[in-house]
Formats: sequence, C-alpha cells, structure tokens
Amino acid sequence: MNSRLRNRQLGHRARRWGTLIWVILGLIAVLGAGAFSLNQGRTIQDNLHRTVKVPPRVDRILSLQPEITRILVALGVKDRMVGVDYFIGREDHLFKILYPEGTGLPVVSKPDESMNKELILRLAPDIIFASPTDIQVPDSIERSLEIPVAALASMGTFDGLLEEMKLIGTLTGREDKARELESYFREKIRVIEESIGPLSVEDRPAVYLSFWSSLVRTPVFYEPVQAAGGRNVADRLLPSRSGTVGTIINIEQILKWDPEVILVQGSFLPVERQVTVGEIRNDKRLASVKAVKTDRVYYTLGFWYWWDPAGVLTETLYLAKLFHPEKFRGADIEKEGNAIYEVFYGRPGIFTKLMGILGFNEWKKP
Amino acid sequence: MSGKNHSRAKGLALFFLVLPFFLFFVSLSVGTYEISPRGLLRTALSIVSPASGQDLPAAYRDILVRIRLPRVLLAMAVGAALSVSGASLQALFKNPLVNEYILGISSGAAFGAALSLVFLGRAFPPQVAGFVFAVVAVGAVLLISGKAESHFISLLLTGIIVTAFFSALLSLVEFFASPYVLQALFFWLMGSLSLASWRDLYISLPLVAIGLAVLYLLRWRLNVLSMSDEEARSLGVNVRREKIVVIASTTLITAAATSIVGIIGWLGFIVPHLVRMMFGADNRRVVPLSAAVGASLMLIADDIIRRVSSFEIPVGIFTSLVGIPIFLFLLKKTRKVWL
Repeated sequence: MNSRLRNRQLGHRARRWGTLIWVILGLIAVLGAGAFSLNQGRTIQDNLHRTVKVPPRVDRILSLQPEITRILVALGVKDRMVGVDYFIGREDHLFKILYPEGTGLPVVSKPDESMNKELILRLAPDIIFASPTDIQVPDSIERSLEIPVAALASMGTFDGLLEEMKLIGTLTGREDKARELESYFREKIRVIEESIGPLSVEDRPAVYLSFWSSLVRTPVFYEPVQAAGGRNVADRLLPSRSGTVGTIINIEQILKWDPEVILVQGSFLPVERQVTVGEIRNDKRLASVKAVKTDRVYYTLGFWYWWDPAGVLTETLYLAKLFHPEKFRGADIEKEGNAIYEVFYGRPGIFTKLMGILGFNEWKKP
Repeated sequence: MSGKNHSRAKGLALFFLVLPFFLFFVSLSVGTYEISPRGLLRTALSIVSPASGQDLPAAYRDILVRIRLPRVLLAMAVGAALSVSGASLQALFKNPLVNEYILGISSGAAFGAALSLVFLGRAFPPQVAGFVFAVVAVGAVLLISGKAESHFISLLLTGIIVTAFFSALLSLVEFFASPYVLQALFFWLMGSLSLASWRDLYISLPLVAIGLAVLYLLRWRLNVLSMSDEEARSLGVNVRREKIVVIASTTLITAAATSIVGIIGWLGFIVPHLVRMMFGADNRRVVPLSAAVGASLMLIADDIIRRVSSFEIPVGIFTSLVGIPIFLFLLKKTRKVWL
C-alpha cells in the first residue's frame, strides 16, 4: 500500500472518529443540560420572605431549627442529619429520647446563636434550615458559604407546621410519610373541634399566655388555644419584631384583659422555670384578675424552640380538656399523648417519659 | 448675668425642680387600663379611707398602688440616680465625655445578674448579685489604677479593661446557661420598667436616696474637685478622700439603679450636659437640677412607652429619643459645652 493511500485511509478514519467524538460531546452536552435542569430544584419563599433555591432532593441536611429537626426524625430521615444546633444538641429532652445517638452529631451553633462556619463547610450540607428568629443568620451563611439556607417555622399556626412537614417530605423523598402525618394531625384536630362544637365568643375562655421566661412576654398568635376552644387575649397585637410571634406587654395590660385562664410555659425543667404558677397565684398585682381569683393558672407545654408536632397536638387536646372539661371528661391525656407520639416517632411511652423528665404534673390534673 | 436673665434662670430652675412632681401625678394617670381622673382620685382616697371606695373595681387599687406607683417611683429614682451619677463623674474627671458606666458598673452588674440567674436560680433575686458585682467592678478599677486614680487616662483605661473582663465573664456564664435562663437574662439586659414592683423599690430606693443625699451635700466640693488637684488642695480639700466618697456614692446609686432596671444608656451623659447648657457649670445647681431633669426625662420616656405602644419598648430607646433632640437643639443654640 503506497503512502498516499494510507494517508487517505487515515484521514477518513480520523474524520469518522472526529464525527463520533462530536456526537458523543453533543450528547453529553444535551444530557448534561438535561441533568442540570433536573438539578435546578425549585425555589421556595421562607418565613423571612426570602426566595431560596432548594435542591430537588437533599441527602445531607443541617438543621439549626429544632422544629425541623423533630420533623426530620418524624419522617424517618434522621440519618441524613450531618449536624445539629446548640439547643437540640444540649438541651432538648425530647431529642435525647428520640435519637440518643444524634446527641453525638457535631454542634454547629453556640448559646449566643453564633455559628461555626468552618465546621458547617466541612459538613458540606446540601441545605441548611434555620429559624426566622435569627434574622441575620440565613443571609450571613448563604453569602459566605454558598449553601442554600431556608428560614422556616410554624409561626404558631398548624398550617405553617404542616406546610413545613410537606416541604421537608418533598425534599427528602418522604412525601407519603409527610402526607400520612398531615392527615393524622388534621383528623385529630377535627375530632377535637367537633367535640367542642360551635362556640360563641363568650363561650371561649379568655386566655393569657406567659411565655419565654417572663410574665409579660406573650405570643400574639397561638393556634392550640383557638383550636381548643379558647381565645388568646393578645391575638390583636403585633409581634415586637419580624420573624417572631412574641411581644412584650406590661402588667397593667393583663389586668385590662382580665383573662379567665393564665397559661405559663412549662416546657422547662422545674428548676429552670423563671415564672411559676405559684408565683402568679400569689402575685398581689394580679389579685383582681379572674384567672387568679378562680385559681385557673396552669402550665402548658408552649413553644420550646418552636414546636414538636406530636407535642402540640397533645397540648391542644390538653387545653381543650382544660377549657371545656365537661366535653372531654373521658379523655386520658397521657394515654392519648403516648398514642400521638407513637404515630409520629414510632415508639411507645415517649410522652410518659417526657412528662417525667419535665415534671408535667399539670397534664394529670384536669 | 443681668438681673432679668438671672430671674429668668431662677424661674426656669424652679420649673425644672417642680416638673418631676407634676409629672409624677400625670404618670399615675397614664397607662393601658383606662381610669378617669375622678376614679384615680377616689382610689387614692380609698387608700386612706377604705369605706369611701367600695364601689370601685378592685383592679383600680391594684393598678394604682401595686403597678403604677412603684413603676413611677422607680422611674424617678433611676432617672435621678443615673443623671446625678453622670454629672458628678464628669465634674470629678473634668471630662465631658464621661458617663455613669465608665468604671465598669454596667458589665459588672450584668455579669452578677447572669451569675445569679444561672447558678443560684430564682430563689435568689438577680438584682442583689448585680449590685454586688457592680461594686466589685468599680472596686477592681480603683484597686488596679491604685494611686493613679487622680489621672483620668489611667482610670479610664482600667475601666475599659475591667469592662472587657466582665463582658468576657458574662459570655462564659452565658455559655453554661440553659436557653430559658438566657431568655430571662436578655430580657433583663434590655432595660425595662415593665416589671417594677415594691420589692424592687425596697432594695433600690434606700441606696439611691443615700447616694443622692451624699452627692447633694458634696455638690459644692465638686466645683473644687473640678479644678486641678493642686488648686483643690490649696483650698484645703482632701482631694483623695473626697474623690473616693464621690466615686463610692456614684457607684452606689448607679449599681442600685442598673441592678433593678438593666442598662439604660445615655441618660447620665445627656442630662448633665442639658443642665449645664441651660444653667451653667456650677455643680451646686447642676446636681439637684440633674436629678430633677433626669427623673422628668425618665418619666416622660416611660409615659410615652405606656401610651403610644401596645408593647413594651426598652425605656433606654426613648430616653435617647427624647433627650438627644433636646441636647442637639440646646447645643446649636448655645454653641458651647460647659464643664
């Protein structure tokens, strides 16, 4: 074979290969673009009205928001958590019961709510969930680490809580579980509301909530009170700042509202309670308030760094029995609580154990 | 000063001295709970003669006696204490930039309150530890600066260092605190009169009264102390002893006020300047007038909070919002800062 023919054959082969390579490259480009568009995920609006691009599926999750951490456990994806916040890591009694190994996860925040960004970077989460109460945290992390941060919380509403659960379900591929829990939650609330029946404003006891370790700090919205047939006297107020549902009032305002029931946040160990039922009952400044005169001052669970879905459901039932005892005479809060916790977290006896730790004797009184 | 100006200044001084007493009664009628002036008067009379107010709602008496009265008295005491403290320290250090917290009182009080809340629990009032550590902070400043306390820069630097030290200790305590205790601590640090009670007054009022009385009696000596030490000595004043008495008294009243209501900034800086701009730098006038203007400003700020907002705003914000525009107006008008 002469050299000219050989060169021509080589040229043909090279062109064929070249064409093939271009086709392969083209395919890669098309598939790559498709894959890229598949990986675009979606955008959500968080509770700080920020638009956050979230990946369609997340395998490595960092939750700085206890409510979301509890939802992750309820949805059965606790093993995807790569780290926890300070409160969950050190203080949350429920988390210790639900996922004892989880307390060994890296803790990325400090009591003053500052973050260890180097640790976060090392943990390489696909997404971070933060609380809207820490207004600067989401933007600060997103700007410096380029990891999507969604500031989400129930904000004291059941819909907010269930939306959160649905979103986390979608992101973790646990939509069915989220739907199942949502249906269970809504059904329980429906049964409670049906048992209470239609109520006029006068039939609803006026309720004042003393939360966040102070007599004068109160939530401006707390749906368990409404769902349980009560009326939060602070409902018409505005929160004192964005990202929260709390405000600070003065004692005179409590006298003006003259609530029939006062509820004190009791989701702390008794020794940590800064406001106690006994103190309120003996506070001479409140002596003329109906709730004090009729001795209707109780502990309730309240927020504990937002909610635990099983806890708030049990709390609603407890409050319904407190406000309308005649309609819930047979309700065994402890038994119901254990059943609710089992649906959410898959283990019996959690509620009894939690009550024991937190000294929630109130639940047994009504 | 011409005779006309002199009598006008006297009239103005009298007005400011009477103002807190007038505001005291106005403040008792301000609040979320609407009580008519007649209702208030009858409630007040019913305290003397219980039979006269039997038809009044029970809440009236609780509001007037247990809520408004202690709050108004505490506002007056705190306003007077912080302002007189600022005025005395500015005169003592011959420096118009000094405020009542310069010797580490605020960080000492915050640390003490935090320590008490975290480790001693609710059984022990945080105000007591707040007061004790405020005094400890000032003691540390004086001890470290030693004989150099006559030199302002040395004392100032020591104050800054001690403040930083107690701030670091506060952070350390916060680290060990449970989130619930932290919530209570942050609420206290914001500075508020919303939880004022007679118990607070029983603790703070005697201390503030003693400190104010001492500073009032020493007011003419503050004039001497604001001269150079040599001049003061030549006038027969025991400079070291007098300075210690002034610092002890200002510490006493500032610590008593801060440990009860938290940290209220700017009052001790703004009020003495306002008084000097209006009445000159003679401390015989500055001390009592600072007490009166400070008490009035605090009452006005607290009345605004209770009137305009459905929620409690930290009172320090309003003392600044009310005081700073007046300060700027007077600064522009008089074009001078007295010392």
